[in-house]
Amino acid sequence: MSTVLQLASTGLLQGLIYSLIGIGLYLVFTVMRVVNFAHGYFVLIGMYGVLSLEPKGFFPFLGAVVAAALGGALVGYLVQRLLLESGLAKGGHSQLVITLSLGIAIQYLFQVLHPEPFETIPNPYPFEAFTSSGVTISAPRMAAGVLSLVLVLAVSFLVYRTRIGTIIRGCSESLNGAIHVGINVRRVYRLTFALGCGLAAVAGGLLLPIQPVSPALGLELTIKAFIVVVIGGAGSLWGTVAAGVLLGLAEALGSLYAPGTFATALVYALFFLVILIRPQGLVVRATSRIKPPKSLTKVGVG
Amino acid sequence: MTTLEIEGLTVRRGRSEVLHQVDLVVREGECVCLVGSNGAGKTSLIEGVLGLLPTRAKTLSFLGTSLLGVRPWDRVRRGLVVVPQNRDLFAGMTVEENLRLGAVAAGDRTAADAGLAEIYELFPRLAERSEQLAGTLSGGERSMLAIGRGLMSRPRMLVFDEPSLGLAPLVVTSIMRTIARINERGTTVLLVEQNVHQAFALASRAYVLENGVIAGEGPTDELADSELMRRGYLGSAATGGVVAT
Repeated sequence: MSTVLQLASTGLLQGLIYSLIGIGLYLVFTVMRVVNFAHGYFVLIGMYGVLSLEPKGFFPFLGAVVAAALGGALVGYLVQRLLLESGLAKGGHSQLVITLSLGIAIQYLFQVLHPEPFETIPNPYPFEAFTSSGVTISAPRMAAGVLSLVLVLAVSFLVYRTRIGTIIRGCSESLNGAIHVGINVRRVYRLTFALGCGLAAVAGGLLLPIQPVSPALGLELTIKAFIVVVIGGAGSLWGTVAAGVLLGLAEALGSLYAPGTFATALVYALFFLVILIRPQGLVVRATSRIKPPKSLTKVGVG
Repeated sequence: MTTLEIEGLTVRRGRSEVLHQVDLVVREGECVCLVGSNGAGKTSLIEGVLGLLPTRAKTLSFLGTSLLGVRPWDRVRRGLVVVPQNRDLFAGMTVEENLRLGAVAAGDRTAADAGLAEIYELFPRLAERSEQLAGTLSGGERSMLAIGRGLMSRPRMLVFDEPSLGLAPLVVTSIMRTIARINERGTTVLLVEQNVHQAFALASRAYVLENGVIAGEGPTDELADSELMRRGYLGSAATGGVVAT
């Protein structure tokens, strides 16, 4: 029993990090209709960013995570402004080619800068582990999960309760509608892409003390972020968050029933099943059924 | 004073030129209509004026300043507001959120609250449905919401793109009456319609668009009797036919 509890807690905390990575991809996808194949590589930017700053102690670590997040957001902003904006205007499959090759470029850049695989940093937190009713959670894992949850809540507050969030949702509902009310959609796109990449990078920073980083990790994280957004229904921020937690739990509990690599295969098979049975995802944005809470309309956009 | 002045406007859609050397003027406070059959280029003209399609023009100015090189959303912020043909509402958001987004460019919350009260007075139906998602509204309500959202932007000129399209005759009459009211209250109106009869009843001047060029223009009462309109748009004047094909 305590093994199950132990695995479930670890899985839940890991899942919250997947949720954080997922909502970054989700925002870019729903607002801009861009599938960012480089998303997982922005997590790498966060990981290598914190690694190269070599933070010693808690506050330097937090500072490094913030710096890595801002760095990721800046790279995202520049990618949107310099690459995607002109590419998207030309249509076709340019977004696929641009984001995919960008990801590969980032991977090889890090391969050159950090040829050593599986680098990490020691526990930066002022406590070692947290133990309760037979379950032990290491400090970095606990902190990464909790901070991810806080950030997820902050992003949902931003999206659903603020003026800028209403503007972002407006752009995602109807691009033309947004233009017709005078929203500078180009600026919204730049900020959204920067936000999505920044979220990926901050998740990377939090992940680093738990998961040693290698350049190849980018692809795996991109795929996981995809799974989370697709399973979540691609129509709801909370669907994405729930799917992230599910992925974390499935990975952890899967190891109970199958050895190592095989468990990972099982998890993906499971998600394959979910998509076959419920292709629309867990949470669907149905204009006819789902009504947002009343208070949402009180959000000041004026 | 001239609100909108267009001289030698050419609009491209993809590889083809859909509007050739169009001249059009709307003066302050006027209600001008632009009529033409399907595919004449009416929507292209609007999208060109708003900057959504690539254009070339000798003059394209709004309230005395040139719009050339100005981004579409900045044209809206200058008061050139379009109520689009397919409404382009924010379907997953409530009626009130849609209206509030209409005022987002103004950025003044108190003004938005006042605007909201005005819209609800103009369309009591929208007040009843303020918490409903825009995507669940009927065709007539969607049309009202699109107009309300446009008014929230405090337009200097409202451009209506086929407001009668897809609506029941009674609803069309009510929408047209609303447009007349908006114009009476001082907002300049450019009404783009296929429904010549309704448009001519409302507007004082009209332009006729045919195959991407202006085929005729003039006061609506004179134009209604002209050979051009009898030939192509009004059918037999004796029967008062209205359908343009």
